[in-house]
Amino acid sequence: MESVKSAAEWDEALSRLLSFLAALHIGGVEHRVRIAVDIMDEARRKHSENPTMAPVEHTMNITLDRLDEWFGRAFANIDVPVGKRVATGVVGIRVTDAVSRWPTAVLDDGPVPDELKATLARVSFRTGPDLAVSSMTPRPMDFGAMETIAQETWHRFAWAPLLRAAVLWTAIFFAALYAYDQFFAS
Amino acid sequence: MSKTFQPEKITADFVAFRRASFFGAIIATTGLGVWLLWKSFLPEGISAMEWVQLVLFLLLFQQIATGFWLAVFGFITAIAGGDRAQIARTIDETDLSAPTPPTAVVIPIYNEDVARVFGGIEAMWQGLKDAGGNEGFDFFILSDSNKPENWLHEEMAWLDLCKRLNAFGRIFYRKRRTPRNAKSGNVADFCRRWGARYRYMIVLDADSVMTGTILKRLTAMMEKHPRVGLIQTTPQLALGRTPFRRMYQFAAKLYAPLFCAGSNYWHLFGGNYWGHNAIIRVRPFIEHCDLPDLPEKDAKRRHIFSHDTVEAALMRRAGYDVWFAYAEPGSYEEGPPNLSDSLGRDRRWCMGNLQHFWFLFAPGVDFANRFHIWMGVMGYMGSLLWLIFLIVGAFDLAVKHRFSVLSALPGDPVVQSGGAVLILLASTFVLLFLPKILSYLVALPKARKFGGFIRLTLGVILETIISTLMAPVLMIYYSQFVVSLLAGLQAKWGSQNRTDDKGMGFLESCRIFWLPPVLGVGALTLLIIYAPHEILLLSPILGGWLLAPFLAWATSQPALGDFLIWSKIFFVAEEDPKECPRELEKVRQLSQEAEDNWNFPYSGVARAVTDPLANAVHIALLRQRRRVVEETEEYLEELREKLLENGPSALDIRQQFALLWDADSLRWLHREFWTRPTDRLHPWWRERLRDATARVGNAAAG
Repeated sequence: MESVKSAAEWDEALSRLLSFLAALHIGGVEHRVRIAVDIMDEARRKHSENPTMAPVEHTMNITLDRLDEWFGRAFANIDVPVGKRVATGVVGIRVTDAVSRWPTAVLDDGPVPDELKATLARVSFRTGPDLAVSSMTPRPMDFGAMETIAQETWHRFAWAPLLRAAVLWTAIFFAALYAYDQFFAS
Repeated sequence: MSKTFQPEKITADFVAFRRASFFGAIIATTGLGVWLLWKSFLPEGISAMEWVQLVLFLLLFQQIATGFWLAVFGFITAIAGGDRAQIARTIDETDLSAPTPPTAVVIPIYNEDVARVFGGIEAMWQGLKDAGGNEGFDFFILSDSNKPENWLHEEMAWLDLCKRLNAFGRIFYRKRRTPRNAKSGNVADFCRRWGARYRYMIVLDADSVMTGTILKRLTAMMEKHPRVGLIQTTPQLALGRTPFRRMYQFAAKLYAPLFCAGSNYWHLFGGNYWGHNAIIRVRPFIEHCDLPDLPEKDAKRRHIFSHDTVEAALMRRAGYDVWFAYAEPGSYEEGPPNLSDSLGRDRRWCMGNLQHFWFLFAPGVDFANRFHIWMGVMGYMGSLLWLIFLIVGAFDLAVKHRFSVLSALPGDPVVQSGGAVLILLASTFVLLFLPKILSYLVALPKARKFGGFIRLTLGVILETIISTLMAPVLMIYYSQFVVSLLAGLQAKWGSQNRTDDKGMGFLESCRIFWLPPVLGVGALTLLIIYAPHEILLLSPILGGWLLAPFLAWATSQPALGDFLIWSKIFFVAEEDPKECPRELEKVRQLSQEAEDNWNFPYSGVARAVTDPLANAVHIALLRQRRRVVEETEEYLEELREKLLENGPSALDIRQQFALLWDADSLRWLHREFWTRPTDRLHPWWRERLRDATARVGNAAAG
């Protein structure tokens, strides 16, 4: 008989599995439950062989491996990089609404329907059409007199000190004007 | 008559007459203004300070005169039934029925409101279908967003949009890894990758909306005239809610037609580019319009921030025409919701426009482009010059007044100048306000489109008062931007990029706009002491400064905006359901629906790890990784462990991006998240597991 701890661990594994399958949108509730039962059975077998791993680890590893294997079959004749197989497949299933036409196909042990394979193959999931590379480089630009003047003048000094000096001299000018107005004008 | 206009056959005499009449009027008006000021100075002899004023006045009065004559020439063409020299008048039904050549609709985005961007694209997609089909048009969303949550959100929105519209392979989403050279770099990157596949590209901003009809008409215009390199439309402001936005969209709708018509009158094929809502011939753009580096000493200042005006100049330099389809309806954008955000945008524009100064005297730049550049520079530099002019003028008047009091002579400068000051003052007011009156007169027969005669009139009065009060506030900040930029300092502006759903708090407004009232109090004090007789004359400026925080606060309030919508003040035709293009109507509706569809409690790297679909979409869109050096692998491994052990808050944005760019890391994290027992997960990830379980429960219950 299972210990309380063990039962809780299997509950966690099942709960995790159902959440994952639901988030994947790969079929209806009945299909998901059927897959889940099958996976759980296999997980129990594996757990008995290797009890050092937690039930949830066995369960989810089996699920993810099965996904990889199933999409490997679905993309058997298509050039999809191995590392992108599951991702492309999950998105393909989603965008083609494949689940509504093949509600029990995904993760099923049987052969992947040819029509489903063809549907997934048609999905164009790219960041752009085929590249048509152009060379776009700036043409030489002659800035004329401004560039010459700049090189001979303000490129040789910093603006901030100049501005500070200008502010200082303006203040001195107005102060002098004020002083003149106050003390000498009359 | 309209169909007979052929841009290719415009004669030099035709262009010369138009430009001579336009610039002649500006020169004459400016000359008259300067002469009047000079005359007002004469009785006491012209001092050094007055010479300074005269030079400044020459530059400033030219700016006002240009605006005035743009409106007057626009008015003349309007009452004459519209300018016959319009690019839009060169096509007919036959041109429109031809198949659309390959055209890319390019939308560079940067941390935008995702729902709004994708809502706009859907509206345009459907608009094209309604206008006869979207064949030939491909859409490209080019993201430079630098927030992980935006990236994930954009990807999911794109997936949802393509799925609903069955538009995979027609609507593309690309995220740049290295967002070099901002928007212009993003567009250039598109051109380098896919430009050769398309004959035209229509560049939009994130908040742009164009109707299917105008998109098709623009391609037809380009097809008909192979010498045309670019056609700019007039994007009208729309969908405004806050008083600020509504006021600007009302003003643009009312006043822009005359200014734009006047602009087209003189520049004809030498038009400008505003960076969006325009169609571009791709091949010459690739060959001639990549932006050169500026001859700046500091490498950081060599990139051109505001690319559009320069690109128009380069297109013209390459021998292609740039036209302005100013009267074409169906081109829209949204303005900033409040004064603070508007100034944030102005700061960027100011930086860009001042850089254009380099091109002002560059050989090979067309005269028309030089003038566009000059007007762009003066748009911000003018504020600083006005401020200096006011300070010098006020000081000069105060000194004169003091001398006249001391010498006990009849010293009123107005009297002494023989009324020249009054004439000058009156003519300045005419130049400033007559364009508004002319626009009002043109709008009167179609007052219904502005909510009726009373609302139109009320709108004009209110807009005039508010914009008059805001002008001196803008003058202060534009001057600050210009001085900071010239001094090589960063003129930072703490814009928060708000939508118009939330207004500024009054204290926040005071914190941002503290400078104008301080200056207002200072100036008022000085005037009371030295020149009390000038207070009335300067009251609009003083009033604007003193009221700045209140104005900014009040015009940002959506509740007040709702009242204006209800009362139909600042009403524009697009708010009438019968007049509103379907595309625009759909944008608001779709934005809301999309927001609901993509609602997810968290985003960014956390979503890419936990949500199987988001993880799959993200990985599927990433480029397959080439070999990674050992150091990088070790770094990524460290980040992965850190993320899983401590939650997303343990990583900074740069680290999160490093993981988001690595498909292997995301696959590993995704697997670890779903396989690790709960007790080995960080509490933050445990919460996410609980969310996922709850969502299943909710879905089952639903």
